[in-house]
Amino acid sequence: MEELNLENYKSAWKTEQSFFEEKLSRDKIQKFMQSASKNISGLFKQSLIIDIIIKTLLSFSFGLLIVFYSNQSRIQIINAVFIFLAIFCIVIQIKIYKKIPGMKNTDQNIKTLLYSYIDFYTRKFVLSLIISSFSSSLFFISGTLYYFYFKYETIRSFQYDDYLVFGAIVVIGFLLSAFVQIKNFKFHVNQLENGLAEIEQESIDESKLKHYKKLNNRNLIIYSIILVIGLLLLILFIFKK
Amino acid sequence: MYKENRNIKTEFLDELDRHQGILQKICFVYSRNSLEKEDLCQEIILQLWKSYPSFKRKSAFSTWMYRVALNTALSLTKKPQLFIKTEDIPDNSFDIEYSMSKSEDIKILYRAIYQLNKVEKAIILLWLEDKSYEEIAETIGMSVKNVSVRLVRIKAKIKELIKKYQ
Repeated sequence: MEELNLENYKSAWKTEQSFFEEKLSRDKIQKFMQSASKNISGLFKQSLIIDIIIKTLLSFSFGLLIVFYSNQSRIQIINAVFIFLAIFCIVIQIKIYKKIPGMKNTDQNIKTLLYSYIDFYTRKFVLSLIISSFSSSLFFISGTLYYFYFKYETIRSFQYDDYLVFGAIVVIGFLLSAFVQIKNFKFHVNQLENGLAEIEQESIDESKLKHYKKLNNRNLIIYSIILVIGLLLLILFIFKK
Repeated sequence: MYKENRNIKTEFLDELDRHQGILQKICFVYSRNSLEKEDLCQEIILQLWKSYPSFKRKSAFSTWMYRVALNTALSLTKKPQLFIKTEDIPDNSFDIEYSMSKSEDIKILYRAIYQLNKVEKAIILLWLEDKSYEEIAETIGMSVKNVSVRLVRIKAKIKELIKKYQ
């Protein structure tokens, strides 16, 4: 049987006219130049912007609560703490936003680029996801404070089972949001890791990726524990008689 | 400043116009239908434009373009689809109409290349474009030896697939 010569296909590839005929118009190219990026950096930048907007709105919401509860100094202090927390989170998110790697350094090869993405997303972006999940808890707390104001004009006293229900909702809100975001995040990062594994042709367990996976899981657990404890302490502080 | 920006833009558009073949080839290989191709073209053009100020002309525009375009194609991730596990989406299925405008050899070659993983596609694409082993190694971040070993394997795989599709 005749041996197949790939060089013939190579020549066909180089001379294929349709590649040179199917040209994009200048107008279309200019439109593409102004579009929003759909790559992993673009997606995460977008999610950070949304979170920054949500936290800014929450800050205003807590500011309004300070006005509503003007004759109750303890609640005012609590709202001020939430504003401080929201602003602190916004500052961290802005810092993370600025550090999102892009393709600005065009001298880097594919392997270096994938490493820089994976390194950033496992080391730094995990914190951003946790902060972002915190928004749902803040949203619930803010909503509850509005409810109490319009119904009782003050925060009514809590029984132990109230602490349990209220605390559980705040923590579940946080965990659910964190779960969805982390799942989405891992879906994207896994694709980058697979690309890197294809280049390295090693099993993920043998490569540096194993180290990143460990680091990612450790960071996730630490940040989540700190935040859940913090949230529970806050609830206790707000509704303590 | 405005005039300078306009000049850069015109210069970029001229360069891109001259090298649209590269763009078409990369987008063709990394897509399975016209819609995906358009999305990839958009992303590559955007990344090329964003990184154009850092292009120092140490290499030819085409070399730089290959690098940025392949970096974009390889780092572009799919969106998660609700209720569908990623492993359930066949990666090697493509729209049969997609390669219709191409010659018979290219149609067969495309079908074979489409069965390769993203990195293998990049290696074979650079080989088809007559890039040296050193250039391929540099673009992907592999050793020259690794490139030559991988190319032997990829070519064997492609030959098998072409025989199957002929």
